[in-house]
Amino acid sequence: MRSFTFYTRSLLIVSTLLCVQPAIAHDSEHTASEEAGDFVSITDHGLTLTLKLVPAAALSDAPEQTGTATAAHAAALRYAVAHASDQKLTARVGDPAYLVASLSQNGRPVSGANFELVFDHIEDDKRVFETSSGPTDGTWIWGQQFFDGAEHRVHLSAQSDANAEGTSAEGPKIAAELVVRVEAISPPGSTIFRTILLLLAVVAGAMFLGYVLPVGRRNL
Amino acid sequence: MKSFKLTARRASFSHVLTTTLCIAVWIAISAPLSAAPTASIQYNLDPAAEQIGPDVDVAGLNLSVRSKSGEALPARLHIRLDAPPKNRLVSTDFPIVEGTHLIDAQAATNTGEYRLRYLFPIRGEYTLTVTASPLTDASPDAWTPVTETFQFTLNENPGEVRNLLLLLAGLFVFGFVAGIILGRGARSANPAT
Repeated sequence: MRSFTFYTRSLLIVSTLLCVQPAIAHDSEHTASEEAGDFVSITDHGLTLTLKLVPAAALSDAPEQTGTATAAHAAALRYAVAHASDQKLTARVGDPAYLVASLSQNGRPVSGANFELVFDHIEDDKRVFETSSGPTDGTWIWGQQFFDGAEHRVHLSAQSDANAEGTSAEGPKIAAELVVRVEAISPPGSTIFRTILLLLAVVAGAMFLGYVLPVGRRNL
Repeated sequence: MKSFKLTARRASFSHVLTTTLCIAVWIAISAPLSAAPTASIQYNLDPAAEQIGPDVDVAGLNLSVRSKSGEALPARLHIRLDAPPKNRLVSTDFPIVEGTHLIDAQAATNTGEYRLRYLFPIRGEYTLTVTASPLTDASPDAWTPVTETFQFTLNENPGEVRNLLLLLAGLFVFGFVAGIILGRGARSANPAT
């Protein structure tokens, strides 16, 4: 009878703890805004700057490429970019998303273009990434995983290089912004189970000590 | 018998001559390849890895491509950053991220220096693989592409460690008090024990 009372009360405590966990997980879910998209194109001073998001899944559709690993990867990316649909796409936690920037003039890529790329976490109002690339052939592909399932503002600016062939001075700076919606993924069940088990082990161990140790026994 | 020895000596001499010639040809062929300039890649974190708090501090990652003589080399870079592998016992704040590719990108630098600023997501050992190749393959002073792998470890953010300890202390106190109450209840219900 004594053990039955013990288990009943313990079960009540464990149930309370288990109920708290989903409530915390639910609060961290994210709602996407309507302005999120996967494609932006800006035209200024006769230059067109395009920024496009290509998820890693699109790479798997590319045929096998030959050459070195780096060259094959670049070729697969270009194939994925060329064949990516214009439907709304989202990045996903766990997989890299490829941001494809291109600067063109009259439909032709601007050789020697320099790019700058910046990511801002909108919810935290925090700059989480920035980099740039030296001379490109007019297209720059940057693959990166967004590890937080929240919206990010991607800011891209481009400028033709002063030393590029056929140009005598730096071209005008042109910028574009894209809001990337990042799909959050719940942690694997095994991870959640393991974490709850560890926390419950601490509670159970402490409970056992409190039950066995003669604390407050004199007052009985 | 004498002619047999002579034949054997000639055969041995011929074998040595052939081997020497082969070695000479191999050296002649490989010499131009080894003479091609080689490059090395250095990296550094700003601030140092020990001072970077995952998911808190935005850190600078600087790459430098230099020749053996220390001269900066314009280069095309393939940068790959892999997240720390999964820990079987205790997970990080972003379990999905563990063991995945964080950055897989290509960039170019005119100055031999490349810099990015990045918010590292989790604690653990990161693997950075960088391949550098000449900016223009057709250049007469083109150098041999080089790939180097670096590893660095980030410690858990002190705030997270404090929160974890507070949670564990809270759970321990909760369990301990619950155990005392249960024990008292059980003993009062059955005083003989």
